[in-house]
Amino acid sequence: MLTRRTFLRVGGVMTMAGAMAPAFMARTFAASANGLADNKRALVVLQLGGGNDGLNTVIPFADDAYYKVRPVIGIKPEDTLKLDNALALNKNLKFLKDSYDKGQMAIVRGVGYPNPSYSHFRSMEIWQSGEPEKTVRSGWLGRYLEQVGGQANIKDLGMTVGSAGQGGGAPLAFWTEKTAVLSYNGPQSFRFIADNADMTDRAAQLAAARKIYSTVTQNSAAEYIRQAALDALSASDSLEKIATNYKPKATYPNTPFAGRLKNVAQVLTSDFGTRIFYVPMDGSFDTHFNENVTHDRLLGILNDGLAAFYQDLQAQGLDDYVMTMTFSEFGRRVGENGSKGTDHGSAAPMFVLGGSKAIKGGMYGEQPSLTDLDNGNMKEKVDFRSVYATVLKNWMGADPNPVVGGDFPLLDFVRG
Amino acid sequence: MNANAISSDRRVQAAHLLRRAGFGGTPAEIEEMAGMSHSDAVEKLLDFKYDGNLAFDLQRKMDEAGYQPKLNDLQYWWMLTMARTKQPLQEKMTLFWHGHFTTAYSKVDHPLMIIQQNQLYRDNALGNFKDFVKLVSRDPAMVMYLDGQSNLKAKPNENYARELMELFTIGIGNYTEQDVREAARAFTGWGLKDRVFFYNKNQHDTGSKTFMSKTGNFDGDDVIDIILSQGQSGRFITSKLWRFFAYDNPEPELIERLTDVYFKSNYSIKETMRAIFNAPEFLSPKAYRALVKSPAELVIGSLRQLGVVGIDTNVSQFSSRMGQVLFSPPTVKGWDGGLSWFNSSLFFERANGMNTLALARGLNNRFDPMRLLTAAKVNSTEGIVDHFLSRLMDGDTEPPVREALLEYIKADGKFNFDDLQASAVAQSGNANANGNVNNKQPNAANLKLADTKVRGLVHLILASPEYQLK
Repeated sequence: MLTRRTFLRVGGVMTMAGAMAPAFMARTFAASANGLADNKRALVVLQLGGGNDGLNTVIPFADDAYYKVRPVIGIKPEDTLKLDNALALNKNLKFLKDSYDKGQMAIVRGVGYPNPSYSHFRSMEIWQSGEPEKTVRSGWLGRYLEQVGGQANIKDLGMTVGSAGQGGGAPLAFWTEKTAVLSYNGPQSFRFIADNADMTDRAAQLAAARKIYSTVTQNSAAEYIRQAALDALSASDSLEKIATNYKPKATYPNTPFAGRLKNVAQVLTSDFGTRIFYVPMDGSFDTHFNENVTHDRLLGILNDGLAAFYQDLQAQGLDDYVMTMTFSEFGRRVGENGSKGTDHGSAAPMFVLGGSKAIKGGMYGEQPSLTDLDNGNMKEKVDFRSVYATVLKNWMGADPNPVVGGDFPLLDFVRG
Repeated sequence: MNANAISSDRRVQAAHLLRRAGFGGTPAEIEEMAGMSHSDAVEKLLDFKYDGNLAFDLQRKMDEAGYQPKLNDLQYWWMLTMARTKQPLQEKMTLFWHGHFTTAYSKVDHPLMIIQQNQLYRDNALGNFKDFVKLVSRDPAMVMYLDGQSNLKAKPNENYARELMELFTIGIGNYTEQDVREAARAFTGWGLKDRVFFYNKNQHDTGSKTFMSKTGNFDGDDVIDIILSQGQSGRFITSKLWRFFAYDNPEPELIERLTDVYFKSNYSIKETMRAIFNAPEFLSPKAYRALVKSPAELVIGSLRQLGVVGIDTNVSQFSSRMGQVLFSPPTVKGWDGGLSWFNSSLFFERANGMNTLALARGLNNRFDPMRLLTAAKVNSTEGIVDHFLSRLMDGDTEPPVREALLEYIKADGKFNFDDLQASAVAQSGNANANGNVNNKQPNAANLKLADTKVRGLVHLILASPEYQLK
């Protein structure tokens, strides 16, 4: 006779990421073959959600067209940090200006993709999946991890620090069927808590929890959850020790973003083995209204967090091994709107920074014209997959073509 | 009985319905619904009276006290309403609409506008979708959130026009960039004055617009009429409702059926919901525990199913830590839901939040396991495990899970049911609470162990993978 449970074994088809159950494995990170000990290079991907206004970030102060279409929110030349005789950084980006001057930051101008989407969600999906032509349910970093992984510790190689998914959870960028990486927000909440007054009971609960989470079910959603739980349990003791041993060598600002970078530094100084970090910035860059107030504040948070992060990394002797790349799902409309803001646009600059042995600083790509427009939007000069491919090949030593789905011209911003 | 139903057991069906149309049933609620047919149970849930006074009571109280409410006050009020309501579908629909027509507190920055909007969603929860969209387009919090007040004739702001189509009514791929610009023109002048909707005639663009292949001097209502008349718009909203209430990736044939109901009933949300709950697919194995509970659903469900009393003002923090800050969705798209509610750190937030609830011995968020066990006349250790598995999991658990729980609570034979009773008596300070206190005087350590174990058991169930599903 069929019981209800056997009935249900055929059911339980799951939602969005149904097929992407994290692989279950014992954590043996101390001997990680892919840790910084063997290949010290790491990549930090910073997500500026909401659509960062590239034109008020890297300001074309010598172009009259800029002031003509932005009479209110255009930033005057004297209020900028000049990089050369055409472009300047927003004045809140002092550390980035210093990095640029020292040849430790590349600015890739005019980055986008053909037929841009002006939807936050679709465009973010495109940047995270690395596929503008069609909807795919895997991310570019996930596909990279699959390529270099293959061994048991594939998931140790990546980490999301903070909630970077569009809906608050895991970002598509890391997703494939095998690469549901850890998501870590600092050691305080990354542990299984029972009755704090009774550690014997906690041990008993943990033993029971491990049995419960090791019980295979026929429900794919339950499978995903229990494996995420097992991964979390097996990582929590190690991460707690790492946090205890870590001594920051810089004072991090008191922002959630800087806190996340500090967590990244913590893991980088350990032998945990993570090589790719995905970190969301605070706030939203969706500045339809009263842009400059919000934008200035957010760029300040970005700059100050990165300043502390690289000061720390340099003091730890790691800055030459850590490349940081920023991106946003799109730039904004060239002309301002009637509410001291800008609507959704297209091509925008990306920053790539790191130590002097990591980066060949300078300008890459091409500044898009402010007059030769497509419906009020700039035309992209560099496909974002060229930037991804450059990082993958020249920095991570990977074959980029299967990851980005084609042969994209490489740029020259990686040193060595 | 349909051979493809999740179970012929009406209790299992009723529990499933209550997890979807509400926040999960207590044994009494499940028993009541199991006593009627599925379609009668659906009618009972659909037939709620608008309890519109709730929000305004809150407003009055706050006005009287001269108190400016903060985000947490609003969250507490709504969580309390969800936890206490006798009309769970009303609050569940309101939660759905809050995630659909999102608005973030941080940008609106005015608590009463947020309350007003929440009440609009409650009042129209099962109303007419076309009227609803027109009301939302005039809702002060929405106007502020999506920049309606700065959508001016000379320089239209496209924010509302784009999200209206992309997220609220028809979905990406079903309109052009030209449609976005023209719709923005049609909504010019739809602004605010003293935080009330105000149609600013001088800022409205009265010129001709060409929108979705139609040309005329359109205003916002015309744009809404044109969008909602598209078949794709019907499919968009019925699929979104189905995915929230039943399962992901609905069959196209099913969506056509629902869309047909939606249009034939002249955009009635109530008729659409009736069709959803009564669809055979809703009771199919594919639907059973196929959706992930959102943090708010997890917290509200556990408060209701555990009979928690004295719900504290901090209750919204449980949901917030797990990734769902009410009135503060991460983006204008709301919460993605599904497995995106899960990753390793959010797992700990869920497990640890449930631990705090299971351990609430004091007056705030008080959970009293002995009260539930006594009422159910449970009198054995195995009975305790089975009681909570039945109460929280439909009694539907993989055997190794039950074994692990049993092994845990027995604590190498140190757990004694009588100790649990005595411990509860000691905690309540009422020697006659159970009318049946064992004469044996257990020592304090045994009393404590018994209480710890039963709370630990509940924690383990609440943190289990299958309890995260609805």
